[in-house]
Amino acid sequence: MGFAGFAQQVTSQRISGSFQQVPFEQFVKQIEATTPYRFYYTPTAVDSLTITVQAQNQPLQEVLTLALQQTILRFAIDEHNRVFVTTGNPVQLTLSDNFFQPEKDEAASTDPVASDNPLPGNSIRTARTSAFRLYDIGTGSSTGKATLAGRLREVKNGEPVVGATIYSEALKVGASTDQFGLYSLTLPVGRHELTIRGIGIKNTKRQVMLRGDGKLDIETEEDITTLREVVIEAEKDRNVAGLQMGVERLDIKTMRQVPTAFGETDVLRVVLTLPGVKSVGEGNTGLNVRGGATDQNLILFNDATVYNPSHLFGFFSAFNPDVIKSVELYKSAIPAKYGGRLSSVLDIATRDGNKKKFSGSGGVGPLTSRLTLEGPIVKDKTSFIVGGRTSYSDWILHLLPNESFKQSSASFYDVSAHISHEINEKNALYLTAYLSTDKFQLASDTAYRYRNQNASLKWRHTFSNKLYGVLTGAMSTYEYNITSKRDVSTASRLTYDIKQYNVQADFSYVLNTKHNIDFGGSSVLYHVSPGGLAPSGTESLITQDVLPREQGVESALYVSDRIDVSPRLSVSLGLRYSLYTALGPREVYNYVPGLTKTLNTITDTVSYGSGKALATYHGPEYRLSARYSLTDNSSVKASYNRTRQYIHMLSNTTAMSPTDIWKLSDSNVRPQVGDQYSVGYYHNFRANTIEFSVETYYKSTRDFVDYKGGATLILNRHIETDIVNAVGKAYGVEVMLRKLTGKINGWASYTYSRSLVQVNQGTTSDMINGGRYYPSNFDKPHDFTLIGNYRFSRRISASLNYTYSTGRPITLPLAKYYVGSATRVYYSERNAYRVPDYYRADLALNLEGNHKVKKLAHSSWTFGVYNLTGRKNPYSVYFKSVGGQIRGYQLSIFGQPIPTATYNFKF
Amino acid sequence: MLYPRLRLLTWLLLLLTASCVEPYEPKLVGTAANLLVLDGFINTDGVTTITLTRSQDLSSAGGYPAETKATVRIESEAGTRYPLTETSPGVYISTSQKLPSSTRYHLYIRTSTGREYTSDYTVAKQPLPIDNLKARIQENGLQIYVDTHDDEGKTQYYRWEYTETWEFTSAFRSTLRYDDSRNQVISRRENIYNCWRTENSSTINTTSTVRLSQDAVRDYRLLFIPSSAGRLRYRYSILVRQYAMSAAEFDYWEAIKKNTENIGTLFDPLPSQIQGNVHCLTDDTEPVLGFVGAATVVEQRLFVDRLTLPNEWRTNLDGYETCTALDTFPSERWKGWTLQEYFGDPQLRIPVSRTSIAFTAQTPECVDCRLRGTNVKPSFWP
Repeated sequence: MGFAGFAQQVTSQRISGSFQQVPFEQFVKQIEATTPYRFYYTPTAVDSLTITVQAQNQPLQEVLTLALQQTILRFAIDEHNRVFVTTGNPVQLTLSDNFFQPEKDEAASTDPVASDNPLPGNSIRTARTSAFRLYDIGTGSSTGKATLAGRLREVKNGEPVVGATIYSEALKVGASTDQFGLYSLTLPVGRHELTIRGIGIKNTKRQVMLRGDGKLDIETEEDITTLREVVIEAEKDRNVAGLQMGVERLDIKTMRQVPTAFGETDVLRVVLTLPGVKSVGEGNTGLNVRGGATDQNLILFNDATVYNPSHLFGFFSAFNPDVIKSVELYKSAIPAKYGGRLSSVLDIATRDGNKKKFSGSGGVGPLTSRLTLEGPIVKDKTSFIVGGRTSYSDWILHLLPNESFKQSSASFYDVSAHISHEINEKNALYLTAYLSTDKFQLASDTAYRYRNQNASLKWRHTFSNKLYGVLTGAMSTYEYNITSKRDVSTASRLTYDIKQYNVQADFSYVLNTKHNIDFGGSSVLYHVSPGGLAPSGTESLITQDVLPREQGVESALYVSDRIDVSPRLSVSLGLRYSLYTALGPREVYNYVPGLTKTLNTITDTVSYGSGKALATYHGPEYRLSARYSLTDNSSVKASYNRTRQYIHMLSNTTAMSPTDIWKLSDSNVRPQVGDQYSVGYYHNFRANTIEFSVETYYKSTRDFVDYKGGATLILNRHIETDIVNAVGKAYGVEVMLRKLTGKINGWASYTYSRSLVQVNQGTTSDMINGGRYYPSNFDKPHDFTLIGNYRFSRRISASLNYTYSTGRPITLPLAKYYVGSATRVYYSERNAYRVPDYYRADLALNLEGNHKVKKLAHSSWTFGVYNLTGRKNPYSVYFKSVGGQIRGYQLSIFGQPIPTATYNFKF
Repeated sequence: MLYPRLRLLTWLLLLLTASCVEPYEPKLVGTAANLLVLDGFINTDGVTTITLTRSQDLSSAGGYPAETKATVRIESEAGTRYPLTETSPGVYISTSQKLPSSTRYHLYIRTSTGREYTSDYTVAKQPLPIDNLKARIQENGLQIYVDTHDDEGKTQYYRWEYTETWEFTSAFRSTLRYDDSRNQVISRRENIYNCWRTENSSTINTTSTVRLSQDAVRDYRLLFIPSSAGRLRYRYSILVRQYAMSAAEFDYWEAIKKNTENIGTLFDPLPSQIQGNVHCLTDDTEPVLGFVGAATVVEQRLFVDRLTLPNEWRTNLDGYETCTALDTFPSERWKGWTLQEYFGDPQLRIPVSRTSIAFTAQTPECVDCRLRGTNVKPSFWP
């Protein structure tokens, strides 16, 4: 029901005055005396009512809302300045449903008639008052159910609001917005009050009169306090009420508060503070999620896969924080939509760019600087955001008193660009491009270079209120090359690259209040050039050695249904079926069945023509989860997941390295399969301001790749002879306590977890540790993390980060012996010992400029100290033969407190 | 590792990030001391020397215990036995012999406790001459290179060992000695100023030509001697022994190299429990350390004379850095001391020269070069 005329009239009819305990009738007379408004009400309903309100040139709407908010009275104003005051529900004013003019700020339209008015600019004031309007949605039946759909956007810049919930408190029915800010909610027809909550937005409400299927777009205000307050102000009751388990969602504001070694917000480093996520050590962004290997994480940047998410060998993450909107990590209940990796999905989403005005932001730090620009191309329809980051660390190298460092250089940059274009109400396009490059030159003889290139194009089409679909095409490339010029006769260039092209279609269908169905399919084509060595220079004796290209296609179909069985019980049933085919042209070795694969057990070589399938694997992936609410603020959730992975990273170093190679499954390398069972208990205290959760999981994986001792991974034409299929199991308990609001906030988590590997096949020489389970490289049983923030004032806040974990396993020397004129070392079984425990405390102080919402430029300073106590945490422990003696050394990367200062700006 | 310079890069990163390296002593629960260790190879043309020792705790000092009184022999696949005899504790040598190249050989060992061990059968590759052993002057030192090749392309895996010998002098030339029986300082006849020192290589030098279009090694960097090394002060010599290896032996040495010679950095491979090619017949779970290959060794010697090196190179007095000044006797400092009291203990002082009124003297560590080498000129020395 539109108050269409109201908004225009009110601007000229403002109320001023102070009313203290004034009887209602007297209040009415005063207003009628100074304005054209005329009041209609039942005198008995107001006879004992007194009004206390202060008004200063405010519209009547606001004044009345304030005046009547503590009463049972409701009011409505029509276009003839008539004010109807009633008990309970306000009077419905319009007579015809097609009498509708969209208000300036929001479009409420009746389906199938879509609003053809674009969204004009608006002000925060009108957005706020929208909470009191009654939106009349749809036409038709007065009984049954109807579907309300629409978008949530930020009023300031038109960005979609992701992961916010919109729900009816009375009915306990709700929906959350997807990556485009879209929601779809099926409700009984009639009057509803809808509550909207989300990260970084102000909680708001909408009154709707639902008559039939319809559309309601909602604009939300930025919750400015969270800028320095914190945090996971997020879905306040998502912990308990959400169906998903094992999901961590972080927005960029949260991430900015966590202190880092180089003063720059680091997405992956923040993810590492979450329970269940570990890495082998500092200066390394390889994630080990719930006991999984670093290659078992699907890292998506706007739906394009990123193969190497780091710069400078892992000291920086490769994502510009200014472009990022949010990061979502799925570690147990992985939606059926995602597949291809065993352990987790890390979904990184960029912002859409400001649709209203041109703006920018950036930062200057000791090693890097960054700049981001964004703005409308076509106002309210098309926007862009482009961000770049570059390092200038060479000057430090050149300061070092060493000739070979002076000839060295190390640099990186990354660029992200994103365009979003709204064709019309039903169609939108999103284009993202990403490039990151690293270069190292060492003492003028060896140069390393690696590069990620990604692009994705998404087309969103809304078929109806209940059904919408997204068609995505993406490509990802990762490549590296190493040029060595040390000796003329062996000067060479080693290259590697992997390319991936994927197409996917995802549909979301709201059948009714009880069923939300997602379905779709995807197909990925991989091209891997597993390595090539070429001579560099005319005198080089190196022979050209190029390994044949590997190809494969991975396709999947999925369907999942979220069923709200009862208000207390929700179940999500999902099934994904994936099919992988390794394609020719290729020559494949066959080995004697049952024997260790070595060069001596090759029986024959089979040649496959172009496009011929040389191996096919397929299987179902189950994605099941359930939630049962015990009370309003506690629930139990359980999930079971199966995942399949057809691509493997080969690395025999402890840390993730840019020269690691990815290998596709083929007839000799089977796909990895993982199963995870998890159960959790969730409890919120103090009106959802304190969240508590306990999750426990058991995971088993098979056929993941491990290595024989001294394996050769580079330029190996028969890599299967150097790798073994391992079996893994992991289990653990994750306890987390979060305080969401207040001067002191943050989270503390404790994890007990184990990650074990077994290689028990083939001959005795193939078995590792005699075929028994041994701890994986990242098995760190105890882990405690505390992220605390304290807000001194609106402009000054401090953050403290504390982590403790058990030292990671290592293989230690047990004995020494003398061979070849030197003392040698006899090592223990693999990973039989541990390095000393790890702990570290970091401190950061954020100073903001003044907080006028509207000003030319905002700036802030971040000062931090990384590793406050200067503890020398051993990253690696190793033994070396020095002058014939075996000596043990421990190497710490950040062995002393590291102060940083970064200047950030925003305009 | 194909690109060992990755390590340098890591060091550079470490410098940037205030990292540090400290000694580390782990607390070990159990150890694997006392495993049988074999060192040596089956020499198909000459004397085979096999050393048997036992492994030791990392913390223990002193020599490795020798495995004595064992029965050691080379056995051909055809069944011929070539016994080795123990000449010094744990060292077993054969007679100089030429083994037919038509068959494969292995080593058989029975310890005094009755445990039996054998190595895998292995073929000896044909020996190849060292094409070139050369030293090139570089900006801050001397680089020694080796070249070799196999026209038939059968060798592919090479290993080198070397023995360095160099002439050196002590810090002070002593022309005198103290004769205790006569309580006199008399002329010295024996030269304890000029000596020669010999050291064996302790690094593993291997290379493979598998990735090259020819089975040829060009400019293999065997050794770099810094310009300040005392070894280059007078005359320097290096004897290089070249072995042709099997792929298995190459892999073994590569693995040993990865385990003990690589610097521990972020990107180093995990160390592995290395097994050689020797097995215990009595208990197949008992680890045996070492690799016994078969080869014919070729040798070549190179001399480097000081005169051929740049004049501006300033060599250190390796080992004599603290020998700065001479003591004088009699003097104010030694007031009341007799000649016998001053020179009586040759472990403390050795007379160096005579002035008109006194003797100069220094400790044997500064005067007697035999403490760091031998004053017997090697037979090959020009």
